[in-house]
Parts: sequence; C-alpha cells; structure tokens
Amino acid sequence: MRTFRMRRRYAWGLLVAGLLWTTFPLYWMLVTSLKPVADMFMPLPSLWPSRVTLANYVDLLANTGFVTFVRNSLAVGLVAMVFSVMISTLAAYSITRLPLPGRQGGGVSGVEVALWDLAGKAYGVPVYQLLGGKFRDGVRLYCDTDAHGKGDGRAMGQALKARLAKGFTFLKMDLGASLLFDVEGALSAPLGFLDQFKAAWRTAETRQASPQPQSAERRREEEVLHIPHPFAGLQLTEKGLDWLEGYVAEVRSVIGPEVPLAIDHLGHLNVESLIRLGRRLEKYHLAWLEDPVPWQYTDQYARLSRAVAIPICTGEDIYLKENFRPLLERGGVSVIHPDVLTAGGMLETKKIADMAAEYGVPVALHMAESPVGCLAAAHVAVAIENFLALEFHAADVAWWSDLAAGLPEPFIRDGFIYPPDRPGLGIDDLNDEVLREHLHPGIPGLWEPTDGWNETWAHDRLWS
Amino acid sequence: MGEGGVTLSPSALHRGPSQRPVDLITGLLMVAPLLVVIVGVMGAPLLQAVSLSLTDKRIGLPGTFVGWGNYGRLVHDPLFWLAVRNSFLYAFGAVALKLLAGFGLALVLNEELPWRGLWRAIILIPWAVPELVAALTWRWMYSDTNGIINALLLRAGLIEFPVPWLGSPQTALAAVVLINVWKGVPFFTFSLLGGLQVIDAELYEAAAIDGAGWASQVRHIVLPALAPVMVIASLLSTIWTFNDFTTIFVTTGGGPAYATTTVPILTYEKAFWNLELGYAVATSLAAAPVFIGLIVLATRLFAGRER
Repeated sequence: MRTFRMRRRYAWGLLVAGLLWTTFPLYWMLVTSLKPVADMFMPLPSLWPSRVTLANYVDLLANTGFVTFVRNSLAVGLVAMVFSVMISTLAAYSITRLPLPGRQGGGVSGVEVALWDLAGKAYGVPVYQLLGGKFRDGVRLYCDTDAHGKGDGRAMGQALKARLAKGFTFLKMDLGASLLFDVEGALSAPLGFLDQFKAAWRTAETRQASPQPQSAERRREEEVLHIPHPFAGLQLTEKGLDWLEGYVAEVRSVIGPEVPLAIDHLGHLNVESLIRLGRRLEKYHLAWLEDPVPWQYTDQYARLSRAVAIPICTGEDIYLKENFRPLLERGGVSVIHPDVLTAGGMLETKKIADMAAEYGVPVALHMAESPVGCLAAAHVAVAIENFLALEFHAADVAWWSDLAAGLPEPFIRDGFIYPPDRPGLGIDDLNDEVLREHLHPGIPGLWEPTDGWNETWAHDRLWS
Repeated sequence: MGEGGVTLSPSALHRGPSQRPVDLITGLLMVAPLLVVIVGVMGAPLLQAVSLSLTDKRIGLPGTFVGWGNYGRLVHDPLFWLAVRNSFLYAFGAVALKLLAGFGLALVLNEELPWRGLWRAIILIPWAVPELVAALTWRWMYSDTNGIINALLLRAGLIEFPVPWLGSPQTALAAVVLINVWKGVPFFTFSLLGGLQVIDAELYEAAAIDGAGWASQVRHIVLPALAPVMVIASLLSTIWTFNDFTTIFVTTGGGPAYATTTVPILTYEKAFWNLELGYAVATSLAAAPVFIGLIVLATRLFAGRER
C-alpha cells in the first residue's frame, strides 16, 4: 500500500518542467555542434538547425590533440578518485566511531499499545480480534478503595457498599500496617524505627498532593519507605492481629459474605507476620492478598501460598513473561496480576495469561491508567481465557472517561466495560481540553517536552 | 599487528595505568596517515597563505612583513565590500533556488512514474557537465547578437530588443546565478532523493490512517526527515557556490562594472592583474570567517539532533 503519492497531473507537470530546464542547454550544445560555423553566428537562430554537418567533430578529432586530452583527463580523474576514496574511507570510518549517545527506551509497553491501535485501524478491526478473538463481551471491573479516612471497618464497609450500589461486582480494599500506626501496642519494631517510618509516611502522604517536583533531598527523607518489607523488622502483635481481624469482620458484616473482596497494601510486614495475619483472615474468604512481599522473593511467595488458604497475588511491577514464570513454577501465586503498561504491552500480557492458564492460575489485570490504557487492558481481558477482573481506580473521578474522545457512552455499565467493535482500541483522540483542566499544578503545560524528567527523582520502586 | 605493536596478552587486556602509554601510541599510529594528509594537504598551504597575507608580496618581488596592513587596507576598500555583497547574493540566491528546485524534482523522481530511471539519469546530467562547458554554453545562449534565449523571447514578442543578459549590470548577477543553479540542482535532487528513500513507508501509512493527505505528509514527515540532508546539502553547496570562480570568470569576468565580482574573482584580479599577491591572499582569507561560521552552525545543528 503506497500512501504517499503526488497527484499524477502535478508530478508529470513538474517532471516535464525539470526535464526542459535540464535538457535545453544540452540540446543547444548539440545543435550548435552540428551547425556549420557560418550558421552559428547568424542573428536570431532558430530552434532547429537548418543545415546539419559533422565538420566540427571531424575537425576536433583530426586537428586537435583531443585523444591525448581525454587520456589526461582520465588519468587525473582516476588518480584523484582513488586517493580521495582511500582518505575519505578512513575519515568516514573514524567519524562513525564517534560516541553517539543513545537513549534506552522506557515506555516500550506504551509504544506497543499504540502500534496495536494503528494496526487495528489499518486493518479495520478491533485489537482484540488481532489478539485472537473474544472469550467474552464484557470486562468485569474490580473497584479499588483506599483506607484513607476509613479508620474502622464500618466506615470502610460503607464505602464499599457505595461501590456495590454503583453496580460493581468485585471489590478490593487496602488493609495494612499503616492502619495500626496509632493503635497502642499493635506493632512491634526496633524501638525508634516506627516513629521514623511514620514520620516519613506522613510527609509522603501530604506531599503527594503538593506540586513540588521530587528532589534528591526528598528522596533521602523517604528512603525508609523504600526498605523492602522483610528488612524492616516489623511484626504484628496479637493485639494488632485482633484489630485487623476485627476490621475485616466489620467490613464483611456491612457488605455481606457474597461479593469477592481482595486486600492490598499490607505494609512492611515479614512473611511470618503475614502468615499469622493470613490464618486469622481465612474465614473471610478473601479474593486475594496482593503484593505481600516484593515479587522477586519467589521462595517467600511459595512459603506464604502453602501456609495460608487465601489466594496470593502479585505482578503489577513485573516486566516480561519470563519474569512471571518462576512464581508460577514454584506455586507462589494463585492469582497473577500483570499491568499491560508494565508487563511489556498487550501481546506480552496475553502470553503471560496463556502461560498462567497452563498452571491453572487466573489473571486479574492491574490498571491505574487513563481510558487509553484501560481500553488496552480491556482488549486483552476479552481475549484471554483465564480472566478474573480488571482493576479500576477512578470510580470517584467524574471526568475520567472524558479524557478520551469517542468512547462508548456510558463507558462503564453495571461494573463492566465493553471494548468497542471499532478499529483499533476504539478511541478517536485524546480530549486536550479536559486534560488541560486537570493538569498537575507542578506541570502547568500540556504535551511539554520531557527533558526535565531526566533530572527528576521519582518514587519508582521495582516492587510494591 | 607485528612486533612493536600491540599483542593481545592478558596483561594488555588488563587496563592498568601502565598500559595507557601503549594505547596512546597505538592510537596515534592509527590516525597518523590521516594526520599526515590533513597537515600536508590542508594545514601547510593554509599556514603559508596566512603568512603570505601578512606581507606586501608582489609577484616577482620579495615581500616584507607588514603585519595586519593588508587587512586594514581591505576594510577601507569599497571593492572588497562590493565583492562580499555579490558573493552573498550569488551564493544564497543560487542555493535557495537549487534547494527549492532540487526538492521539487526529488519528490517527483521519488514517485512511481513510468521510465523513472531514465528521468533520473537525464536530471543528473548537468552535474556531470564540466563547469567550463556549462558556463560557455550558457554564455552562448545568453548572447545578445545570436543567443537562442533572446531569439525565442523576440519571436514570442516578450521583448522588443535583444537584452544583453550578461552585459547589463541589472541582469548579469541573476544570469550567472541561473548558470550555477542549472549545474547545481542535481546535487540537491539526488541528496534529497536519497533522504526520501530511507523514510520508512510505515510512517506514511500511519499518517494516512490518521487522515493526513499528501501535503501534510510532506509537511509533517518529509520535511522533518529531510531537514538534516537539506542542511548539509545547503551548507556544502553554499561553500562551493561561494568559491565558484569558473562560472563567473568565463561568462562576465566579474563585470560589467564589477556587477558580478565576487570574492574569488576579486582575489584573482588582485593576484594576477595587479600582481599584489599578499593583498590577494588577505582578500581570500577575509572570507574564511563566513565558512567557519557556516560549518560551526551546521555541526551544532547536527549535534543537537543526535543528542
């Protein structure tokens, strides 16, 4: 398919003009060389020679040293060419060896999604079709609910009940050590560490809303938050366990026993504390415990999965299929949780899901993205067999689905998303006006260059 | 690598401080041939020219050192400034036209037209025509007594009397610019055609999917992709055109009334008519800052793109 094509009329017009301009002096040279000398100096010459003669050529060959001149020209030209090619080759080689800085591409996954969208639009089919077709029409969402401002199980239960009223059919809440920061005697840690940790936690929380760019100094202050869970030395006391169990019991009493409820953000606990907590929570049949320890500790996952009768889940920080394999091989997870925009894109996520299917492990998809990323995840979700639910963070953000133009209306129907049967992902464009209204106060411009990010420190751990 | 060079022993692979002199010597040996060529072919003559420009050397007489005297004279020489003006008009006028025409022809020759190979070959011919032949041919065509251009215009009724294209101060510079353009368009055409051919067809497909027509594909894909080629071709061509001596010397010799006298023509006049070699070399070297500026500009542009 050739899509860059000039109108034939213009192409031919330009070509003819170029050929006339180029060839006319050549033509005139030829015509003049074929004229008798007398005719050359006639005023008002005509375009066509009136008399044609080869006398000039005969004269050239017979009465001048033309052959010698040609030989001289060739000799000079060839020698100069040989030397300049030799020297230029050496110079060119050394120039190409100059160090040219390259940039390793982050955003591989984002580019991959964009390419699927283009491929779909080029072939006129939805992306799920290119991934092999649909197992289902609707994508079940599971709705996130953070613990902020929900100091007891009743408050959390009410928040979750509001989600159910909106039609969501699958829920997740945060439940972790941070809930116990102000509960006397609920946590055990090296003395003094907890205060340091709490202080960093609170500054981080307040700063999350502040517009200042991240700095090296800020990163140092928050360093304590980046200690991998098992290294923090934090343990739950019996009182802590009682408190958390009571919290979950209260939540269940409000939302009832039927709706699946997953748990996330457990905090900096070691495996032993997690096993003790897990055993207490078994009777509440939680959907899963998410990211209890960094995903790299495969054996700790295997231990946890064997010790506790709650599905263990991780994956939102894992890039590429091969990094999911050890967790599945060792039986470390009962639910796998990749993010399309972290795992390496849509096809990679599909491959991860297919691999998990061989181990009998279902897929929940992590997602905290714009409608574009959400649709990418949704197209994968309908195209995989072992799909459980797709995460949804923006239930409280009224303008979220306005970020992209051309989405089905309403985008979310009774807790499900339906990938549109339109070419590509099914969006027309981004909605720059809505984007502009909701910019980060520290980054006032839309589509600004990202060079400044090279100097920025970000809260980007390799695990959750 | 023979004796005295570097052999790959384990100790040579070890990058200790004691190994550095060896690396340096090897490195110097590697660049030595190029260095000899550059110093011998470019450095030495340049140095000699600079030292000559600081003397009052006349052809046939020994020169004495006069410091910056020649350059001081230049600053107050209205002819020099006229030549600088003409050089700029000649170079930039010709390069602008060559770039425009070259780009247009490159786009056309990139199209899938029948007989494309033949058209490409024909368009390339002026590049192979020696400058001297091109200039003589055009002088012949421009002639006001028996030139074909005047003959055609008279027959078409566009002019009443033959125009002395090369003999009138109003038209001479434009006339020599056109000769240079005729000779130089193929360079731009083929540089840009090469640039066009390496543009990934997928970019056009992607743009077409997003609804881009021919004009916006040119604007958003072709022009940005060709920008580096355009810059380097224009830079090289500016330098060549600035230094072009043959075209003007053969057609007008710098006249009439200095209307086409550029820096190289003025240099020739001072050196071989006035025999003031020192002053002539100074004239020619005075234009060097222009070239240095152009080269610095272009390398900056490239460094900016590669970073």
